[in-house]
Amino acid sequence: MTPGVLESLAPLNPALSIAGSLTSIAALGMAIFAIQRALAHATRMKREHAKNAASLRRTLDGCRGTISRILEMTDEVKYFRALDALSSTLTSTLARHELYVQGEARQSISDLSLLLLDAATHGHEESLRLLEGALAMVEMLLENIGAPKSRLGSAA
Amino acid sequence: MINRLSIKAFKEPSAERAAVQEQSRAGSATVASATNAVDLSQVNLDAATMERFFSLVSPVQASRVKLEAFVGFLQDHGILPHALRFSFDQQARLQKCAFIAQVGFGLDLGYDYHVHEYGAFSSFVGADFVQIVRRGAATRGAPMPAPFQAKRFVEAVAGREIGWLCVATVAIHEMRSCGKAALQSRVEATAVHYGRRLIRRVLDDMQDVLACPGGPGNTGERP
Repeated sequence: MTPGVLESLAPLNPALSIAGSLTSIAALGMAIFAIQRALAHATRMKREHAKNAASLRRTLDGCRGTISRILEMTDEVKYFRALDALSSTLTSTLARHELYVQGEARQSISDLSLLLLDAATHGHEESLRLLEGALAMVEMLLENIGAPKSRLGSAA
Repeated sequence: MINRLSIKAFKEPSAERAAVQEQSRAGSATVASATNAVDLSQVNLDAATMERFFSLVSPVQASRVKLEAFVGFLQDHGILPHALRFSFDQQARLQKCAFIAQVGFGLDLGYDYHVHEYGAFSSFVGADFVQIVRRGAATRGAPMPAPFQAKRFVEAVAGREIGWLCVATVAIHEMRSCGKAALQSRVEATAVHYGRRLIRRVLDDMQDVLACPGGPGNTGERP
């Protein structure tokens, strides 16, 4: 650097330090604002996860009751009609909330869908056996409902 | 009491089985399989032995092993715990082990399976396991038929985590239709929830099985 340049900037020192301080304060303010937003987002997500987990629990509770009622049906036509309705509505709902089944038990969602599909496509006697299996699967899923782990937590 | 047995074809296995058991108590009996007519007229069996025979094999096919016996076998080898319950871990472990034993190691359990991104699953294995747990009906100490490579099977699956078993079922399924070179990419394409490192490890662990005569890698179905 050319000698004397720094000396020529000396009169600007107070102004530069004031500008630097203001920039630091602004940066600090922005950082605080970003942290606040992140915390608010985390709280919102936590609420959302709790809501979705509760929704899945309600769905599975309802499914358990429905399967129990279907198992008691003696009329085969009504039985298969109810089973078809359950199978078609439940599969998409379960797939949407798969995230809320903890760990590897998540794969039971796919298994339950297959069980219901098989129950709907076999004869009445075999279907009853399969539906009892589906009922046990629903109870097992209910034991494994929970909020998903955050990315931060899983990275740690 | 010693009875003479003759095995012929049955049309209604369960009803016939009851009739046979009744006959065996009376002194003579006819036992059968729906697919194989086997003449065992030269074989002498007492009623207790015949009861045991019926408790271990399916009435549909004499060589078929019932799930109760297989569950007992898994318990005997520490693959399933002594206290059975329909938990995720036990159910998934049984599903995967049943597939590996049936398709990979020649055990005739007679189930059909779906293979999806989490590995093999049979609705009837699940449904039958529910009944076994309810009745506490696992049959301990049952002998496994000769075609089943029991020792190799136990060595392959004992102590494995569920993820390993899931990937192994996909690998066994895929190796029936593709060569060794394409196997990893095929398994990765199906078992999308499992990491490349785990898949590599499973395929490495199964090297011995792949090389084993009569193992799933040597079924003759591979190009």
